Amino acid sequence: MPIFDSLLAAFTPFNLMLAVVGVVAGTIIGSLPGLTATMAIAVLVPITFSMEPASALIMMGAIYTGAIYGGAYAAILLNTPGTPSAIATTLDGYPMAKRGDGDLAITLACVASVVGGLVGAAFLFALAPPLADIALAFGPVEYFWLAIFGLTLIAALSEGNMVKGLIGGCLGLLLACVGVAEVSADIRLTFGSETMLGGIEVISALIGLYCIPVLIDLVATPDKHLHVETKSGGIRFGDAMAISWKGKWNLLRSSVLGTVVGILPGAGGSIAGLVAYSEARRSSKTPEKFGTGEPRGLQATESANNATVGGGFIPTLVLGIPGTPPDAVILGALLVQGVKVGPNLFQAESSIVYTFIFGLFLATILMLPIGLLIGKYAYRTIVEIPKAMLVPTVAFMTLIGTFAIRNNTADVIIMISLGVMGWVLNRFGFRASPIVLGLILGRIAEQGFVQGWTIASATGNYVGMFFGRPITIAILCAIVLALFGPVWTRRMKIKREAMANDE
Amino acid sequence: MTNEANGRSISTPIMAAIFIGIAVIVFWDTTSYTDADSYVFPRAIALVMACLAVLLIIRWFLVPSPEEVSFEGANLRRLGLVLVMLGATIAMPWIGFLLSGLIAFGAILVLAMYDPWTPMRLIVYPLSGAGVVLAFYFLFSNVLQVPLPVGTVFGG
Repeated sequence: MPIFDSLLAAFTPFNLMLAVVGVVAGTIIGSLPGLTATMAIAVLVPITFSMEPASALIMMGAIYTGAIYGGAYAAILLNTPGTPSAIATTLDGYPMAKRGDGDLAITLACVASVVGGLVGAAFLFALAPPLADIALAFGPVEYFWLAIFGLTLIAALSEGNMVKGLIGGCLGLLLACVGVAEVSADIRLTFGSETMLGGIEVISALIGLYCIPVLIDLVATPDKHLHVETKSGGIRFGDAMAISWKGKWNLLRSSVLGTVVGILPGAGGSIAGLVAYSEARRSSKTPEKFGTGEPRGLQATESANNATVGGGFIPTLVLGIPGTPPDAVILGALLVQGVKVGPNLFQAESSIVYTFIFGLFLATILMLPIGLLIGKYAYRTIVEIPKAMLVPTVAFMTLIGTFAIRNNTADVIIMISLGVMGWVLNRFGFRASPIVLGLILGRIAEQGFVQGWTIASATGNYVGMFFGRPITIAILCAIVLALFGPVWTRRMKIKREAMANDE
Repeated sequence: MTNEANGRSISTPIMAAIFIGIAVIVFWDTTSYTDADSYVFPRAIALVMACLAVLLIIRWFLVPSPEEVSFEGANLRRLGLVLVMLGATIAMPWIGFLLSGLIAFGAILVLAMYDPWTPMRLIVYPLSGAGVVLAFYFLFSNVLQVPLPVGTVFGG
């Protein structure tokens, strides 16, 4: 019974300790804006070199899963995603916190993250080799359209302002072009500025566009930063479990969607969260509540982004293609360990793989008590700290977090400038999320577009290349649905109401 | 920024014009690139953005939307916050990360303070602020090994 042996191996006291340490470290690092899951793993990877490969994988998986969940704290309490995966969490998490349900939002996010993480790990356990084929079916053009799909989803979520959302997405894509071009080394859109030469780093843009506008508004009024229920203890487990049980299908669907998106290399938690959020809203009987502090929106994004952990490991382990940036670091660490990833890994080194998968289950389950405990203190800290102390603390964290990304002040200046730009654009109805997502997806979109364009130029078949392949057609249909579905539904509703009034 | 006469917000066409301007600047910048791989994508996106901005103007003509653009609140404090953060960043290479961080923290603390300064607050807030700055400085420079600037003025 090799699988049973792997189960026992995963539950040794040493591995248990590694899972606890990994989840705690990941959750704390992920909660700090500027420190991502990738950075958390990269910093801690050298510790794992002296360990057995399975133990090393368990620790890295635990850090990863904790960091993705940790990103929700800042998203909910400060409207600043701790990691890019938590972008969609701000949509309903922050409104919940503003109206006094921050403790419920944190607890719900923890429960949803655990469910998502378990579903992702279950897919990794049961269906890794066949699912990995999905990743191979995607060519450059498919990735281009997938990026555009992500942008249309978030633009469609910009309630009543879809065109503004799309313009924001385009602005983000253009910001992604700033700096030295990868292939030709042309210097693009820097206008002679040395500060811009290194390009716009995604995390610094994320901090700037989300965090700086919040600080600018906090400093301008004497109002309290969050409304609080006086009796709140920081955890509302009973309420969260009741809501989770009621929304169990939403949780499961979002987790499966997150796993599937996680399988696609490069797509990651940000798209997964958005796809799941969009689907939760589409299938809801009260879609108008989404964006105003709807728990089901939060459930969808948090379960989906944690499901990408297991999903992302599928192409990493089966094909050697990292599904997400943290997977790339883990892949590097595995190569150092001498583990040969590839289609034969599940047969040749099954003990390592299955011990790791059971370890991932273990880390995800441990995230429930650990996440709730850390969440309780994070919530209390943010709520109880006087605003006069909160603003400079967060401002200082943005400075040091942004500087640490590439160790230069240019990123910090860009971060602050983007923050001011984001604040001004927000006043005119242009939200931060499409701009940030455009910036995140810019590289994938450009690479896919340019490669597709080059192939099409050689074959002379532009239409066939960009619009004629089966997966492309399916994604295009999804884009059309995302763009025009809400408009059509609204028109039908108005028509029905008019007919009912006539009768 | 609302034109009361017809109930339309004039901010929409102004913003649309700015985005068209950005698209034109991007297009102009791409003319200096040597390789098609470099310009095909930004040109395509600039074109789409300009078309969307035109669509925004057309919609503004067809569907009146009297959306107000509000700049309520203490704008001087807002400006102060941005200037302090930018100033601290620019000063980092000279006076070091720690000192610029401490000064920025103190200045933003004053900007964000709306409650009266009691003797207790005068002691506790700056001391706690210094503690936060020092703790993060230690975490990043010693634990995470980030080479934070020490400053040239003090012989770094």
